[in-house]
Amino acid sequence: MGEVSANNFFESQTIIADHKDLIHDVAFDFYGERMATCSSDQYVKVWDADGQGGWRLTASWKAHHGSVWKVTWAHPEFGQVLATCSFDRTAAIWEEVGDITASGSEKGLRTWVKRSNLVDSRTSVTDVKFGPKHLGLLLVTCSADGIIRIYEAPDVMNLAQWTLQHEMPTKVSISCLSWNPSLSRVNSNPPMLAVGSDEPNLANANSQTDKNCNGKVFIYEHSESCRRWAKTECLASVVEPVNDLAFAPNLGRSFHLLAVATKDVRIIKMEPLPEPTSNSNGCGVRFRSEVLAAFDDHSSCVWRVSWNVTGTLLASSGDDCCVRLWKMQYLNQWRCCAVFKNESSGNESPARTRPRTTYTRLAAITNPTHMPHH
Amino acid sequence: MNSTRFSDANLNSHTIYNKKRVKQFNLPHKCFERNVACAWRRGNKFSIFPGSQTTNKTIENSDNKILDIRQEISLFTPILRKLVNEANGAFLSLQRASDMSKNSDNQVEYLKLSRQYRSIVRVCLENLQEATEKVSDGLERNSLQSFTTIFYSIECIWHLCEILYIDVIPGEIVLPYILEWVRFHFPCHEQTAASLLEACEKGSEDNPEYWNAVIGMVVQGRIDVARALLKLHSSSDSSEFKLLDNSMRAMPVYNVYGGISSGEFTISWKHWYAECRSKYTSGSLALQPQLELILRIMIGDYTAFETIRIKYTSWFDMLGGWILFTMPWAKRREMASAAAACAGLTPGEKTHLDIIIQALLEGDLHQVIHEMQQVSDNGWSATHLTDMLYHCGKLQILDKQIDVTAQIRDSLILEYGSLLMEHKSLWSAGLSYLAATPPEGLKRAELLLERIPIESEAKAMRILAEANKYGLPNVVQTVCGCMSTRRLKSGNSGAALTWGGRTRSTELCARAAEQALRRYCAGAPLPHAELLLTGSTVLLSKYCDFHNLYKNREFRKAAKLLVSLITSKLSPDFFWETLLLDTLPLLETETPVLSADDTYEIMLCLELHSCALTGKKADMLRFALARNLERTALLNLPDED
Repeated sequence: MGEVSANNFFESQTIIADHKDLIHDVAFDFYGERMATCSSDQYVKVWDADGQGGWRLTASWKAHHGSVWKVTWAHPEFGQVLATCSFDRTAAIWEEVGDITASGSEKGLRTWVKRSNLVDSRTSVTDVKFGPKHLGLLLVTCSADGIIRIYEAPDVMNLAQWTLQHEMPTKVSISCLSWNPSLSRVNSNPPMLAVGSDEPNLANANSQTDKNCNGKVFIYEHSESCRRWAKTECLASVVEPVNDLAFAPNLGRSFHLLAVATKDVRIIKMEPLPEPTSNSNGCGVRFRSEVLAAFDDHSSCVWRVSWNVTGTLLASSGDDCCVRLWKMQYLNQWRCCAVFKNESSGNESPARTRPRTTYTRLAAITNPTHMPHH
Repeated sequence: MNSTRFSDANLNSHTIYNKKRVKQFNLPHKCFERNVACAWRRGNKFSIFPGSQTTNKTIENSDNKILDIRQEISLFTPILRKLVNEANGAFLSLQRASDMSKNSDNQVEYLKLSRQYRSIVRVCLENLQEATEKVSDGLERNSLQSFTTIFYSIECIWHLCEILYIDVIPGEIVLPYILEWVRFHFPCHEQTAASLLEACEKGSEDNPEYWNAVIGMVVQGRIDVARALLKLHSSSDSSEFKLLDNSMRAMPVYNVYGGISSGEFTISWKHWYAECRSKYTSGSLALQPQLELILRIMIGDYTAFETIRIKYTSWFDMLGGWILFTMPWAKRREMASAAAACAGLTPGEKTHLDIIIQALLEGDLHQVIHEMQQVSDNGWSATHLTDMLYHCGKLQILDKQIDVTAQIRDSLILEYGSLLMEHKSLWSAGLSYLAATPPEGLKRAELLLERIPIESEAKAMRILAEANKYGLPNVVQTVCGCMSTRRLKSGNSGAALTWGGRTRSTELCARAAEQALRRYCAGAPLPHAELLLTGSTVLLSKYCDFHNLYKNREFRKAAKLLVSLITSKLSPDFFWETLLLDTLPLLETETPVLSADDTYEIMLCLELHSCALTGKKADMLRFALARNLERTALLNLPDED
């Protein structure tokens, strides 16, 4: 009998994105069957899975007058809706029109219409995210001047009408947002947002920022009684500029998990404490937070973190040009399980000559000196 | 159990983690040299793109590529489909069996299920072999052959595991079972022996495989066959052959039901052993080196086993023989020393299979599970075997003094179930695994199920049925919501309404009903009346009823319904015009169907909603109303009901 454990490989397939400048974001829809890309070339492109493993470009349009930073899909219950945000100080809502159930040749007859342009920001809009479905059709944006805005479409059938519900100034530059996806049925679990700041730490230290906390991650919660959003927590454990953050899907846990891309990859556990003593003014301690993991494997600035659907795998990427996959073990421990990296010595892959729908096995890097030690 | 080692051992990483190092993969394009970013898709699929959040990195090439990456999942090969489905059946039976036997011991049932798993693997192997013979493509043949290797190993491991941990063995005397295991999985010398015996010629020693076959039979404990083979030797009548034959014949064989106690057996065995030993030391077989080798094997001489090791592919080929000739009374839990002795025969690096078999014999089950996870079957064997051992109560794993057995079993099942959820038709099997590990399993099921792409109504209905079966109301809501929206956006408000009705969502129904009415005003036909079952759509539903009555020429009833619709003031503003104009033909019927009172009501509404109906249409209606009033003022219309 021979070796029984030779593989466990990844296969890859190349899509020529044909953006004329840097790609800033790639977002998949709820089902993972559609892909939206955005770039500094001011274009947004939508790609559809063709059912045979390939991707087909179905729409491409100039969406903004500046770099498009982020693109994000609304829940399909609200239709085929995208939101984008840009350096041009706006965020935009796009809806696909045309018969989306048509098949075959008619499938090409689709266009994306700008339903609304959100122009409240006076600086570059750095992130945009749709809220969890159970809260209705909500959208949050943040901008370089540190203002977080929450919009709502009161009539989900009418995407032209968005009302600015809340405006929260933070005084620091905000780079990223994440909604807590947990259902907010329970009182201890109100709608919650995490925001990350990329404000550089100046040598002469915290002048303007929060006196109590010079952290870079803030938690905002919506209070049902006051009908407003309030900052309820500042995570003291993250003091370096934050580039990205993401809540993990909850899976019925009693605590929340937040991944943070800062100088390292962090996974922070936030456990809601039973009813705070001073709820009225909202400054009671709401969470016990704990850094479960801080991986400095990227040994440089980390740019992105992204969870899989069930929150069992976390992907991170950084300035070292590596993508790392972190896998959750039982008992909430994480371990790096794969690294993806371009070996500059390597010649262009033969995959280029293959038909687009073929997946080719990714070559493993064999040079042992590149292996990190654990 | 050794718990410290375990905390290091990375148990739960069966997909991609190698215990020695992290696997690295090369991204094939130059554009990934300076920027990379990633985004998750569904399941184990994600994209890597040359992304950046800043613009200040000047990039000369616009040669942007996106890499779509997915994990290779061999279990989704069509030929393994049956294995996955049948194992799912066995898995569910096992969960049921364990539910039923919460209090009582149910070893017999477990053994039956363990055998069922093994027969599933056997059938799969047969299919693989059949396919390998047919296939001509070299690449495909390779992959089929590697599957065959994998599943042979799994069968071998599972069988041994069954003997050591699941089977009910009288007196715990494991030797006959181990011999059976060795004979079953390593039949190479048996075939030579059979052909030699069939030919039945004196002087068979001319066959180059003759001695290998004889020794092979001895090592596998088939003493009778070995004796029969020796009889075929041309000098089998010589005294040396007779001497050895006597020893072989006299060898005591233990049988639990044989009527002698194990103590008695041990005495007679030791007596026989001493006799053999003295025959060897006396050098009476010195002239026949092969016979002497057999005798040395029979007295458990380690160097003899070392001599023949090279003739076997693995050390566990000789395990049965070693136990037979050194410790035939050994119990299940006393296999460690035999395993160490046999494994010690092999110099050099150990394969996974070596490590797993040795760990099994040593009773180190957590090592077994850890190694099983490295097997390239996407966790099929690790999951099912762990679950089996868990239910048999044979698994106890400690991590830092905490019993994590249940967590490990659950996490394996969760991973395996989630993996199946990615497949376009195996997802319902995956769901049954997730449902077996509440509460996290159901939460995962919810996330994965609602994300299964819905290509058709039928698929949506299947997802709904499964969601209802496992009690996942959120999934029902999401699927209905998405389907309703999809239908609505494509202009089919009737279908949208039906989907809203399926989840009893007033919001969805109201939205669809409103669109149906709006579209009717714009000239589209009404949705089918049978779709309108929910309370929130009273107006639309009643209005459809009205149309049906009118079509069936039941004008009297139709008129009554229309008037009740008008007087109930349910109608949204945009619909007044339609409702009011609908009275026109009823006012003009040959025999009057609207009474004077009805006419007054309509007049009132017409004036109240004067903005809804203006100009010529309003005048026309006023005129018709007046005429109807004229002919019904003094008439009492009979009530039909």
